[in-house]
Amino acid sequence: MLRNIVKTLLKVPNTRQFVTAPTSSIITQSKDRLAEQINQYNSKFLPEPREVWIENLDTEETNRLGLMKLHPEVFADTPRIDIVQRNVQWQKMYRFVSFAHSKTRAEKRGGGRKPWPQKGLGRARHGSIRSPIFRGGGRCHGPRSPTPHFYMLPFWLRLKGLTTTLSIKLAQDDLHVVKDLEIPTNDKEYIKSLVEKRNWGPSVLIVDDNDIMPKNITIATDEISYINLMPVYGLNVYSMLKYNTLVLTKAAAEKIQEKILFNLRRTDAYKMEAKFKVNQN
Amino acid sequence: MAFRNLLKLQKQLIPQLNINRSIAIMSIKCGRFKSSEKFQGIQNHPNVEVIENPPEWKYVEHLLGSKLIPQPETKSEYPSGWQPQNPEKYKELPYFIKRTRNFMLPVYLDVTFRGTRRKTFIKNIEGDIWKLEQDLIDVIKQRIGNNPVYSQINEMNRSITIKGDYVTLIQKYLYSIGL
Repeated sequence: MLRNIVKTLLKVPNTRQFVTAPTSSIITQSKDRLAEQINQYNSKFLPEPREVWIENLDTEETNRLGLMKLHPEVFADTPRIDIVQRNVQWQKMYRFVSFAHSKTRAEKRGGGRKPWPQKGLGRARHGSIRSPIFRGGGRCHGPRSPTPHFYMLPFWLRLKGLTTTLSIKLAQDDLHVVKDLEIPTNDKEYIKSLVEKRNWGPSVLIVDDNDIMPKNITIATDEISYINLMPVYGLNVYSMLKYNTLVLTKAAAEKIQEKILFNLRRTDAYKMEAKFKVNQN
Repeated sequence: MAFRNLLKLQKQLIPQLNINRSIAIMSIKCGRFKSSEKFQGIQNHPNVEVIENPPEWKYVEHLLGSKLIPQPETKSEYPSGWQPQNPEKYKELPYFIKRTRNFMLPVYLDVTFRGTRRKTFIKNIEGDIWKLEQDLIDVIKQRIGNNPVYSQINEMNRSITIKGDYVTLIQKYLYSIGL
């Protein structure tokens, strides 16, 4: 039998064919269609696409360069403040580790000896001076350090949190779309006066589609604590609420829209939660 | 005889390796990652022809499945009883119910207290939620007579909860009005 196997192995030809996938993937093709799918129900109760001005950053005064349509499922969602609250709570808690600590009766010093005899003194019976009912005794069921508070919010609530917060920001006129992040100088006074002239409030979060941003704006905002830069993949509910104004570049707005619409319609969304299920089979 | 052939095979597979043959025979188990031989450079591996965009790729795509939920096919009748929304019928209604991402009606049964409490839950409601609640209560009363129907409206969630299991009844009614 071994001989037969060896013979057949020796006969195997040296050339094999490998087939590669085409360069244009399935997702990119269908993503173009996603942004076009607006109000497919044709109902008067569903929101229309939202229109925003595309502004500039290269002058202090606002120049309106054009209009942009935003998808209603992402930028005109129902303001579910309960979901916003759950997202904020989750973002605060999953990184929180409680270091509160108390000693039990076993960890307290002493207390090994019976304080007084069981009978004959007319006093209550006790076995240790570190019992929880004693002053200076150990604590029962006290906080133990470190206590992690990590949990995962369901995938759909995380997604809904993003759409809700983006819609709230847009409805409250706190969301601006700019063409790009090119500014003429790297002077921080320029960006400070720009924010003041445009009434962008006490703090601004600027979001670009890429994490390598133009040199001037990174130098200008580097020392200003209330103006921050963020790539699209870092966008989250907590930061959007923390900053007064959310400034998206046009590319960032399109990328956010594309990603959220894809996730709202993906078939394998159940896999996003599988990793964080408590009872793993 | 067989042992000699095996040695021949080993020579072919790893011509560069000049190691103790008895050990090499023991260690060639290419089915596992750790015991398989190390990469010797591309020139020592079999020739491979790479084909890009073959016409047969569409069959592979079919097997891979869709990344996105596909739109349902339009038919006159579906064997499961499912119906698509009918814009002709719901156009005049003062309310609207958005289908779920899988094109199903968002009507659910909520069973709590080990089956002793059953609630019907309807979500994704747009428009006049109070009118929809009244219409649903009227439909239920046709079934159960003049008994009271307990219901609850959550305006922020845009949902209605009705005490009792009326999922099929409500689904049939919503299909009939085109939602």
